[in-house]
Amino acid sequence: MNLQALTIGQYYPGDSVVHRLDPRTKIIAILIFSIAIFLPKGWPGYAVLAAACVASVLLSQVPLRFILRGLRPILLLIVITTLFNAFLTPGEPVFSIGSWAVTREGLRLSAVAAVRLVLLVMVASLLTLTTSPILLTDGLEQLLRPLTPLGVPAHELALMMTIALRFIPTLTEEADRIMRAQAARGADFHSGNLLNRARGLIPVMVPLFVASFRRADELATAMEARGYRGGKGRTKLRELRMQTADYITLALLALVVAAVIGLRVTGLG
Amino acid sequence: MPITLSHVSYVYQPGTPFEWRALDDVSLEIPDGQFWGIIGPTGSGKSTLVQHMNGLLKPTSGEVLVDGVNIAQRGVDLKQIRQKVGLVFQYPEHQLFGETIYEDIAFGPRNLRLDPREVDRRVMRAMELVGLDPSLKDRSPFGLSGGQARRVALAGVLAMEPRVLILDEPTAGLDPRGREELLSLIRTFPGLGMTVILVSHSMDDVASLADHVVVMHRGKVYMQGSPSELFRRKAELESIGLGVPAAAELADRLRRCGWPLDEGIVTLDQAVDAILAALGKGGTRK
Repeated sequence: MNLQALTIGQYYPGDSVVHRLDPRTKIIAILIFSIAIFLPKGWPGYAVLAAACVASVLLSQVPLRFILRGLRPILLLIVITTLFNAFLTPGEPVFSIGSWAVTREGLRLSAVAAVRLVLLVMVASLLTLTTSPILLTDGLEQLLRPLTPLGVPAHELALMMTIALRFIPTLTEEADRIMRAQAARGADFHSGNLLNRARGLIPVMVPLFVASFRRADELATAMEARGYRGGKGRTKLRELRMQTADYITLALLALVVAAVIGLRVTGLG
Repeated sequence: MPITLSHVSYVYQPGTPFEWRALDDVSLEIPDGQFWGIIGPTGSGKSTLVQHMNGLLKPTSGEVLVDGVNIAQRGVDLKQIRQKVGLVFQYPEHQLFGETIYEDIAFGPRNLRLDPREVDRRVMRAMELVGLDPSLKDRSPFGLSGGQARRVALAGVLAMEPRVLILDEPTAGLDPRGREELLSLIRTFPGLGMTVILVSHSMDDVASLADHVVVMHRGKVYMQGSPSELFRRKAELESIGLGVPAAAELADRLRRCGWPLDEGIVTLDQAVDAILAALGKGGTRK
């Protein structure tokens, strides 16, 4: 079992235009893009969105296989929705298997669903691939801050996310080490029935929990020793500042959305 | 039961930006019954190296033979290899999980599907070997002191009755007394018929115990030989951030002041004897 591959999470370090964008720009852009995905009524609209998506991927200089890796988990989902849509949508039959008919409307719907899913996952993975977890939480905190008076604990949420993200690699490493150590004592995590395998995890989970509690305790002490008192009055080492590239990105996004809406209104797509 | 590594390389996360060549063309032959030391600075590939010796890692290229069996071969019984080659990880007490000390030590033997009486015999023997009082067996391992907990973890590996015992930084984080106790315990293992491989970055630990020392640097074997051979090459060791044992350093400085001391002094006892002998000759200071 190779947990090492998981260690770094999604982030693909780089120095492209997309990497350097303000995380807030990227988060907002992806939110808007995700909504825009549901606007088109025909192919020209999707073509515009797909072009924008492909252009961003190219600009990010992230190798295509990293983007495709993100698509792998949703492959099954696409296959299932395609089958359901193709067979169960009423309409003009194209061909049939036994008493099951595939309809033209069904095929159209399947294609639309597949394109939507692929675009959605592509932009989402582009965000996590080009934005380090720390910047991502920074961006989220800034975006949530206006909601603080409404009782949204923006700083605390961001801190929790940062800590969780920070410790994912540590814990996977720890789990990996414990599994190796138990394997060295003849533990076998890969064979036997489900019950035996589940029971086989006890020697991994117990030390992992013990280690997590110890770490949490140490972290809390270390934070207190350095005078941590929550988010109030706290300044940032790296202030987020919108650059020209951010405004250009948002302007381009506005253009894309305008085009999609225009196509929809004029009935072209 | 010899272990042979020929041209072993290991690459972590190949094909990603995080690619890291931890071992680079390492060839070693570890004969039976010896006490080997493996030293090197942090990140030199020591831990990666020893994990090849019981099949926890498989070489990216090259070959590892344990008792003549290639560990990367399809269908190899890794459990059997891991029974023969015991590996005690760094901070092994962090892997304790049993409700009682007995249960924890019995984990290995039970995985070997031994009958309960044999398991019992092995657990009690392992506890005795590491100097744990049998009355402790029903206690929880989580209430023990650091040194005691480490002995339990060590017993857990010894209960597999391995023929080769690999210890990765066994004294890390122990106080000087715990360290001394553990090292004198380890010193007894070759007498039990085990080949012992001690991984450490502490020259003093390795110098006083090992017959043969391998120095790792950047994934390669930087040099190897007997401790006295190696510690004569002080400048080379210092250039990769390793020192020589304190006794060797002392002898070296005295020699430079003109004391007639032998080369190849590595342990404190040798240094004491040599200095006394030199004083007996009249302490010929120039």
